[in-house]
Amino acid sequence: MKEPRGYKKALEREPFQEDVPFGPVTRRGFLALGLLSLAACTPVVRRKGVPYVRQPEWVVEGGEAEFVTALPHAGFAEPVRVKVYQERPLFMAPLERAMSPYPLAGLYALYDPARQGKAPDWEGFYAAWRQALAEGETLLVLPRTTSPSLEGLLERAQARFPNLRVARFEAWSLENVYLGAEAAFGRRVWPVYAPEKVETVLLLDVEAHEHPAGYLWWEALSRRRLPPMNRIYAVESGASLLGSMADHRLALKPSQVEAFLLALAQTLGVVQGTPALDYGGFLPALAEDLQRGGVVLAGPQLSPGAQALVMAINQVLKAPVRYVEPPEKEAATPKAFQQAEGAERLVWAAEGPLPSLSGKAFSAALSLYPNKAASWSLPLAHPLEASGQHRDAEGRLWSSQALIQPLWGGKTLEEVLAGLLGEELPALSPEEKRALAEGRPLAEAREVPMEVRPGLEGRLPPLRKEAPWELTLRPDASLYDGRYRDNPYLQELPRPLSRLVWDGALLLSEEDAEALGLLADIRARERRADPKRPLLRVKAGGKEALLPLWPLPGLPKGSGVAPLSHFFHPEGVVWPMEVAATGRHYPLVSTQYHGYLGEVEAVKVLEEKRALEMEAHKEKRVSFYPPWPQGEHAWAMTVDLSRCLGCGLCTLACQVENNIPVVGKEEVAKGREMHWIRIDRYFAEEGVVHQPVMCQHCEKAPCEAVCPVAATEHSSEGLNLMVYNRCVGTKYCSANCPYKARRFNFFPYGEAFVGKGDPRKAKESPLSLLMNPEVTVRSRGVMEKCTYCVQRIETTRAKAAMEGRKVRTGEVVTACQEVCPGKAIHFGDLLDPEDPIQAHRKEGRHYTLLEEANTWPRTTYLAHLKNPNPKLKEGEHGA
Amino acid sequence: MAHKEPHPDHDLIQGEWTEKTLVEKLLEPVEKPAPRPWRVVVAVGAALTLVWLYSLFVTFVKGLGTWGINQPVAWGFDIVHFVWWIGIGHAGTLISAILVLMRQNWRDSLNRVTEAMTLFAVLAAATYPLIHMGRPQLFYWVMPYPTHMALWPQYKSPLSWDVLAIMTYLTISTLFLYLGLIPDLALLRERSKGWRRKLYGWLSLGWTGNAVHWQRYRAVYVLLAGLATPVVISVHSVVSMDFAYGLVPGWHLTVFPPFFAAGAIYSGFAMALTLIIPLRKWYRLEGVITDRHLDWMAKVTLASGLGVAYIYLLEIFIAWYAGEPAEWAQQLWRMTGPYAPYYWAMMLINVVLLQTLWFPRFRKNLTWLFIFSILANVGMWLERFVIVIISLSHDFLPGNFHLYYPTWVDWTLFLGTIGFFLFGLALFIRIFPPIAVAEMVHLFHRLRKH
Amino acid sequence: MLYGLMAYFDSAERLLEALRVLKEKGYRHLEALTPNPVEGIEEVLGGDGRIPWIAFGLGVLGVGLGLFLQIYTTLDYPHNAGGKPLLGWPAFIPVTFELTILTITVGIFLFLLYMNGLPLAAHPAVRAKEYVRVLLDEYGIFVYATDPRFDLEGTRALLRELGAEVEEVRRD
Repeated sequence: MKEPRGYKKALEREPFQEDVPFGPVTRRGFLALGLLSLAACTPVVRRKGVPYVRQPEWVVEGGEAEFVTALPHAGFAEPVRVKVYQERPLFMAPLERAMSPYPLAGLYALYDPARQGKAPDWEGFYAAWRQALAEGETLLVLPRTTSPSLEGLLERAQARFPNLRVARFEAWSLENVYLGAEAAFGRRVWPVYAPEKVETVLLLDVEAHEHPAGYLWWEALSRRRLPPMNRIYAVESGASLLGSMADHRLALKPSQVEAFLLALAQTLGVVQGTPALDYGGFLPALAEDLQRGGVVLAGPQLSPGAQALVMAINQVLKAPVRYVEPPEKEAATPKAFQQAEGAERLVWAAEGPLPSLSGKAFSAALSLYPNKAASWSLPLAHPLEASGQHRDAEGRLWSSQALIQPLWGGKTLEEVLAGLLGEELPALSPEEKRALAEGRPLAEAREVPMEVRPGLEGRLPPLRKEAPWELTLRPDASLYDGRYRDNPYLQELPRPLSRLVWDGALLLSEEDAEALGLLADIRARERRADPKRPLLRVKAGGKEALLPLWPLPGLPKGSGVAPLSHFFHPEGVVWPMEVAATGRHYPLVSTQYHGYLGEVEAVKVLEEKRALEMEAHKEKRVSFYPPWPQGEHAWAMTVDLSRCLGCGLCTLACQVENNIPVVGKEEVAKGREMHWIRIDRYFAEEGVVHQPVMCQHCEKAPCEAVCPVAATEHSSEGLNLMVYNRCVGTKYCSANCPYKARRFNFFPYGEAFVGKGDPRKAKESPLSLLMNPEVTVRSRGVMEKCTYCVQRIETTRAKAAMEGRKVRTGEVVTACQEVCPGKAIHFGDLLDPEDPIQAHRKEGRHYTLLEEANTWPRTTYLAHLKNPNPKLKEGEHGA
Repeated sequence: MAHKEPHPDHDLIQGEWTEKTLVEKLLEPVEKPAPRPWRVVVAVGAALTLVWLYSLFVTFVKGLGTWGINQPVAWGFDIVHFVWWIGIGHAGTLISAILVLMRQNWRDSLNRVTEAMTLFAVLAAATYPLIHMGRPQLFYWVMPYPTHMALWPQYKSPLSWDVLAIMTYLTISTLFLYLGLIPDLALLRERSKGWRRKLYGWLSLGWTGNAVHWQRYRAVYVLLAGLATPVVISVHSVVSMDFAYGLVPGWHLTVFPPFFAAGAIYSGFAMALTLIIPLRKWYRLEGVITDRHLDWMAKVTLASGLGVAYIYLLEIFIAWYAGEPAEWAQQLWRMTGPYAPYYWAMMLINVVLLQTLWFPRFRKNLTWLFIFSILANVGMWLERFVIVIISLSHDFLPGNFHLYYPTWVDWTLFLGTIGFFLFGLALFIRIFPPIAVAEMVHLFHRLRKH
Repeated sequence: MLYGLMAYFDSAERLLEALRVLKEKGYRHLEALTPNPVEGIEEVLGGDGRIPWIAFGLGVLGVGLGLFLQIYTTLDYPHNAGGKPLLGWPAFIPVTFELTILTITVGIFLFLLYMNGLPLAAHPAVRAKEYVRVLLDEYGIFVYATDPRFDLEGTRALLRELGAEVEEVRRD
């Protein structure tokens, strides 16, 4: 795979690294040659399989099994149900409420042949490590760990090897939350919120993927995005998905966000003083609403003082917050990076940015992917290959189990420490096994009742100071702090709002881009679909990085956002910034260039009041023709835009479930992304709205009538079927689809994806194990699109038939529906009177996309609802 | 028996001729050494044909990804050029068929070369639907034959109609051309030696000139002309239905069939002028392809062009009048979007510059006529670009709008078909007389009788 | 061996006149060879009025074929394409039309060849040394030696009398 990059290199070179499987297609004109220099792949599965002589008892040919486990992302457990097909984990869904996209996308890494390095010499490594420990202080840098068993092992190791120093590194730290709690309560605790319980929520500069509980929060908030609705206010320095869901949004610079918080605290009487500004009426209206029952949810990057204020405000508001023991024994911080750079002997086991490993007496890297710079590079086990313990964002302890033997000889951190100690790790305990079987946590969080100690004002740590330009280094929605840079699923998952893929950019407001004199150039390039964007030299806190500029509506003036994956600073994430144009350009690829709604009513946004008054709209259907006979079911889907965060988990789940390939940056630039679900993002008057668009399964499908070979046709149950092996690829169906929901295999994308760039290597690549055997891998020249997960419908039907019953209401669950954190997607049967879809279709806000096209879609939408404060007029506060 | 006043078409053959000298003149391109420009055309045509073969190879080996097409713009240069070439073909059929029925004498000196133009244009056009398939190796699936999948083509798709329309068109124009050639082939057979005599002998089918044969021949010829007339109108109408059948704003118009038919005749006559003006000069055919012929062609070009221009204006009106937001947005996108230069260039040529043909001063100026004929084909190319690509790049949902950029493969596939067309035509006039000898001699007789 | 006599006339009128005379004299086995269609030849040699009827028949066949093709293929494997009815006749018009034209075109062309006896490998008249003249600007009559009335000298004299240049056509 790629050359491992030191941190310095990453800064300069990252934006120029084109991790494009198909990169050289146009450049050098060869698809198959000159692609990623491939590590030799040893096939783990021979194509000519031999059937079992004696079949293991639990193996069912063609059968699926489901296991519960908890997969860590940035140290926090995400409890999931993993679908396993003949020992191959293939899909996962949240066990309880919601999950982030990372564990799901991690399935790619599980089978990724790039993880294979040299055969690991574990014994040699332990000996060398012990040797280093004998010679002097050796630093072990761990990522955030929430595992009590690992902490126990660490303690024993430190007792046995006094020279073992331990640091914990995490680029996106939660330390400020703990420090805030220390200021407010006098001890470190971790807040657990229940936002579903309140009428008013203030989102203070926070985004779903930036907080360990972010997706859970949206799950909770979305439950109240239906009448009777909660009211969401957002005050933010970036432009976030959660913020786009807000009824009122105020964009402020990071320092001003904290100033706003102070003003709010003053208004609510948490601290003394009178607010300097009323933010165009925003502040009093918000305070009034909050006092009727509200909660403030803050981003972890806010300064400790701000965190303390948030905790104090929540106490005054009697907000539903519980405080639990911090999930980490010791806060992982970005500062450990400098320690690591300075250490003489280093074992680096953290994730994200990489320190320089050269010039050290002893350096070892424990990571998922091989690290060539370290003298010892050893593979860590993939979370699906590892058992262990992790706490989730609510402090509960989950047990996780290995669902597959380590494919490349990787070990867990526990196993490594045990190996260092020469110990054997115990197997899963009976309690752990029972918890896993029952799908519940091993232990609940220990609640710590907290009371803000009086005199907060006196000991309040200083809030952030204003600077003309302020920069926040935020985790990228896909790459996080860079740890997922090897994951093409995530690389190609469009980033929120910017819809950028394969890259990170400096996000600035349009005014700022204009102030830099670059907006006209960008607009001109946008107009002619030229992906090149000006490259800026961004300086912050003594570091600098080259980042291309992407202007984003909705950002406050003077506030920049850069992804942590592309710009990391070991001393913090909020900085005064200087930017200068370099005169150079860098191609940035977005999946959506037209963000403004035109005359066509593509998406509906309603106020709650209006929606309640509205009668169910009768869809206008015109046809000369008699209806076709109806089958046993009439499958249909509704997408509730009010509950849709636009996070893209559906896109990702669909991709994993349906063997959808990743195509690479250059192909996306040409407009050839393969995602079956496209999330359209519009900057509307009411704010940003998201609309997932997939095949609408039209009853009068324009695509079907035009296919000359009947490769796409209608089933009696209303599915718009795509017959891959009949398709000759005229693309007429796609041209005639008003939703443009069809995707075409211009190249052998599927094979190239599996073969890591080389379609001819597909058959021997272990990534072929990632392919869902229930779904055809499409070849070159074939059209494809959303199938309503027809494989799931048929499996369910077969199961019901075997059990001699009918398919139950809600029994068929599509992949997108299963993972949606807001439960925005519902798949059901129009012939089933029990199905909730009946109620959805009778709602006043129910609408069909492009009704005027007379296509009679089966996928329909529920309008995005807003619950604005009648006392606040939009626009006055610059939302 | 002779009339006092001269035959109204007496000036269609100018100069002092006898049958023998006329025939000698008409057979010159076949029997005399080829002029230098011919060699240049053949060389350029052959070179471009080789480039074409290479880009076809690239397309087949690597896939359609080598083209510039993408998700909203699933049809790009392939369909633009398909429509363009099919349109060009129409002039040949029109001259040979409709003008036969209308007993227009001036067609006699033009029909052969334009029919040959039709043949090669339709051949060039027919390649695009084949190669634009994702899996071109399965092209035969659009034919009705009993397959192992027990499936048949889907006859509600305009593409299935296209297949039969183009096949019919190709067959009828080939037969028409061939039927017209038979007497000339017999003459050539008697006048040549060696391989040529063998070739003409086989191809002439042993035509003797029997008067009874002639009588049946005439009946069938007129009948085929009568059949080719609706075909020539229907083919481009069917092609237009590929678009009109669709929902895409900018496609979804009932006026498309006459629009396309008018455009086809316009572009066909323009291409015929582009070919005939130099041909006449190089082979010194001014006596048989007179200024009056060119004037007539310019007038037909003007008439059909006016039809096209009218529909351009009608499209704007309908987009506004229909009150369909997507249609109007599409119209504005054409006028002001990133592709606006293409749209306005099309309007400039096909609406504004076209008006020059009203004036004999321009119409009779061969240099201008030649330049305009090339411009008109550029204009018609732009029209197809506007219809196919601009419409697709901006349909209903702003979320999926995307521009289209052709790649080198797209361009070479286009240049390649131009090369193939020129190469084919040049070889054709070297082997077969570019002007129908028998018909010209017949016309000469009739004119002399007066 | 003598095939017959080839007579060359310099105008169509003379040809028609000569044909009339020959017919009156009872000649049956002869052919008129002309460079282009001669008006009025039907009156002398008889016309062929079948062509329009054959074309009409072919047209009916073509309509039938077109409709059969579409209806049979649709019913043989019925499927719902875009919610349109199986036998959506408006969609069947173009194919029916094109197949009608195709059937007539191909059929009538083959019929023409059949009626004219083409392709023809050899013809005695072509052996005439000056044969090319009848393809160019002269009108020829070929009188077969097999005609019962044929008499080399008498026929030659008759033809000359009618204003023709006469040539004997023999196998060399």
